[in-house]
Amino acid sequence: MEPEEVGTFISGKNVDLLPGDNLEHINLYAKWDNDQETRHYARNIFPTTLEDYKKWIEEEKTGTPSQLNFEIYHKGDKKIIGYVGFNHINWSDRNANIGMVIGEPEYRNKDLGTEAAALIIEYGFNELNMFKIGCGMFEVNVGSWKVAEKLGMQREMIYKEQAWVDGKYVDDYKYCIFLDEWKEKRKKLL
Amino acid sequence: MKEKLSSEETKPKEYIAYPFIEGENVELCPTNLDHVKLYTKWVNDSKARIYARNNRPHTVEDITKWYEPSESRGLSKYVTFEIWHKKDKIPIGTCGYGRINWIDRNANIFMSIGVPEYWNKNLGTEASRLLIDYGFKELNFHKIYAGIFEPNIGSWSVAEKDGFILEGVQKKSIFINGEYVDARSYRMLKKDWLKNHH
Repeated sequence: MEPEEVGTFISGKNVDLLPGDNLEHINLYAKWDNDQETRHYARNIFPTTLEDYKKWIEEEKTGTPSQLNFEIYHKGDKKIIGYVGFNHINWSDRNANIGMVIGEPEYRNKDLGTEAAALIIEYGFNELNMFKIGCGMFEVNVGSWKVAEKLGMQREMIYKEQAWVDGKYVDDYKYCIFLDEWKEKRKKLL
Repeated sequence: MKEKLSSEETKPKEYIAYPFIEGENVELCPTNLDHVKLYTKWVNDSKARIYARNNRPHTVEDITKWYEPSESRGLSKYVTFEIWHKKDKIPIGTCGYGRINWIDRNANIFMSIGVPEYWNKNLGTEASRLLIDYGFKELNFHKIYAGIFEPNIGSWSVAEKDGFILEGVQKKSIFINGEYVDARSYRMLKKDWLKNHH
């Protein structure tokens, strides 16, 4: 799929961010979100139908968005490999939470998620005038919190026994970064 | 121009309680749309709303919508009670659980005493204990948590009196009265509550 179809919204070194919530790609989103391995740590514990995506996407089109999603496009392979976005955007406290999925397994553990996250953090601070950006994951999702640490985020919260994963209660981690911290870190990442 | 409720409107006999959980000084009752003007007053009250983080005005119609029965047939994500003052026979606030997660078995506890005259009288503490007991013993929660911002000392004192543990602090995450303030997170696990409240 060529990015020209919908345009490259943010351009990176190995990946670009294309507008997300594309109604023509909901089959791709459904494939990732329902995939047993991919959905494991994203904790999609209920099946998601194509109609669910249609409904969400239509609902999001009204008013100032409380979430913004992008597709992660692999430039070398010309392929959409996942999505990244802000959810729980709070426009008065000026903070938001990052959500990300690399849906295609062969593209995991290649620092592409780190790059995509760095692009969206830069976008959040530079264009959306955010003050603080966070993300959360379960303790067992080691890959995800390693990415957060590579991005210079601090682990500010451990919610004890917050979620039921693989038959037991596990802790939930919350990471965050402030604008002034990002100003230092961005030099190394972008 | 501040419009006060007339004495006619605040007359105790106007209000009817259908107690769901009984306490010594307060009872937890179902919310009642006949009291929606009172709820609206609390939500917009400049003193009370600061602590409830209502930074936009709410109309009677908005609040009516909040409390109208939901159409969903599934288990609700919210449970809300009216806090009823037994002696004075009036509703003084609301409390309940939001973001109920029936899989992870946890929920966010909230409480607001809408009438400032009833603050600092341990009524919130009493209501919170009734509510926590209900959460663990009837709804079978595993964990109850509360998010309270730093300047809201009254609320986190209640949480600490109840034995909630400070789980952590999210730095500068709320903008209030012109500045970014920290948000405290408190937790109570079922096993910790049952140790002292069997």
